Amino acid sequence: MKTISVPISVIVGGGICVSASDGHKVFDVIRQHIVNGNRAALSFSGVTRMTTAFLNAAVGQLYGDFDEQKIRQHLAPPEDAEDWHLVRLKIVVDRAKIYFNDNNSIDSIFSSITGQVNDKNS
Amino acid sequence: MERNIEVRLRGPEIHTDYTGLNAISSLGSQLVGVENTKITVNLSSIRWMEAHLAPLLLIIIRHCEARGNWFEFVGVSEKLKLILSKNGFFASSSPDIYNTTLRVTEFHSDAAISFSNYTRENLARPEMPKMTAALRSKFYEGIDELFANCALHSEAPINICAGGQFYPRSERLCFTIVDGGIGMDEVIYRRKSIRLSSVNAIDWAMTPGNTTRQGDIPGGLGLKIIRAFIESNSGKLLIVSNSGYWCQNGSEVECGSLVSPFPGTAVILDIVTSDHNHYDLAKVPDPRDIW
Repeated sequence: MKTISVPISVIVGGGICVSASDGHKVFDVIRQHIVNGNRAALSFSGVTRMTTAFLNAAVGQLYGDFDEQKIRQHLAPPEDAEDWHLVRLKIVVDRAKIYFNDNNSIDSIFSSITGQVNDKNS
Repeated sequence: MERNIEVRLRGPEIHTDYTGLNAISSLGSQLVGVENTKITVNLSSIRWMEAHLAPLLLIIIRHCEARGNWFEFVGVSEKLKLILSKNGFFASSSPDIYNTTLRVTEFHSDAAISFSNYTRENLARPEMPKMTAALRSKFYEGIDELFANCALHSEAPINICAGGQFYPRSERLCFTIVDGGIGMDEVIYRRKSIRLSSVNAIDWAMTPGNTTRQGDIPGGLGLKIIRAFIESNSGKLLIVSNSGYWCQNGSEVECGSLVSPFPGTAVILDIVTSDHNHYDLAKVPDPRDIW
């Protein structure tokens, strides 16, 4: 399996990684590498600002398309990542796993607060 | 024949609190349904208004303009005229000689990078508060998350509006971001098919783990990150959305309903700039254990 660097700031066109639409561009690249059987190494070189909205789109939604084991196989440890990049990335990844593994739990939290049942689940 | 209407903003002072936000939203409610009319806003009873609240007024104006109305302001005291000119709310711009304002600026929802540049350029000025690098980073993180949130959820027909003010004496930096969108209660209704009151909708959105996202992209982290920061900073996070009023002061939360609904969602971040917390990252994950 070939490991290929995915330079976030090059894909986005700069170090400000804040919008979900830019995150989606990164997602498309990573997804293609996984589909092609490669191993993607996200490079955070030059990333100066980064939101969870960006990361949710860039990597969070991978967990909706692929199972965790496949993602582990096809994503290498991040490259050139500063501590704050790693912290934020981990928060988003953990959240995505919960979101996709147990989406109903989000609705049950909702129900417990509001006392209402989501029509879509009833 | 030209149609005219006169409305008043009620004072005497507009601060970042329940009374102040009620005064602004009641201005909007006086204009609901008004079309193709010259609207005269009488500010003669206003002695003082915190400049960072101007984006809320601008959103009300933009909604009205979209219905063919146009505006004139009368009874504006010299002091008020000065602060609202310095930050660009009034077109007759006065120089901001102390460089303490973040000009009232409008952004399309896809202009996240322009927004980031705007905040960075404004806060890089030497007159801006001497925040620690950690605090500055947390502040950037917070406002970037706010913009991303507006862009994702507001479904607004008008631009997002932002602005801010540094208050050197009280060592506060206030930043406001406002969308003229459907409001948090309506977002939750459209995406979760559940009807909540405006205030309960804000409270729900601010609760860790909750998200209106459905489908492919998870969400629900941005506002929680800001809450944690505000608690550490002993600052204030204030949200109005339609009739809902929600304010976190340090770790305490106060909620209520506005007398008149605000046409959108406003988030005001009020931080203590003399904060010397380190904001250390509690635990840095092992890069080999991310996925």
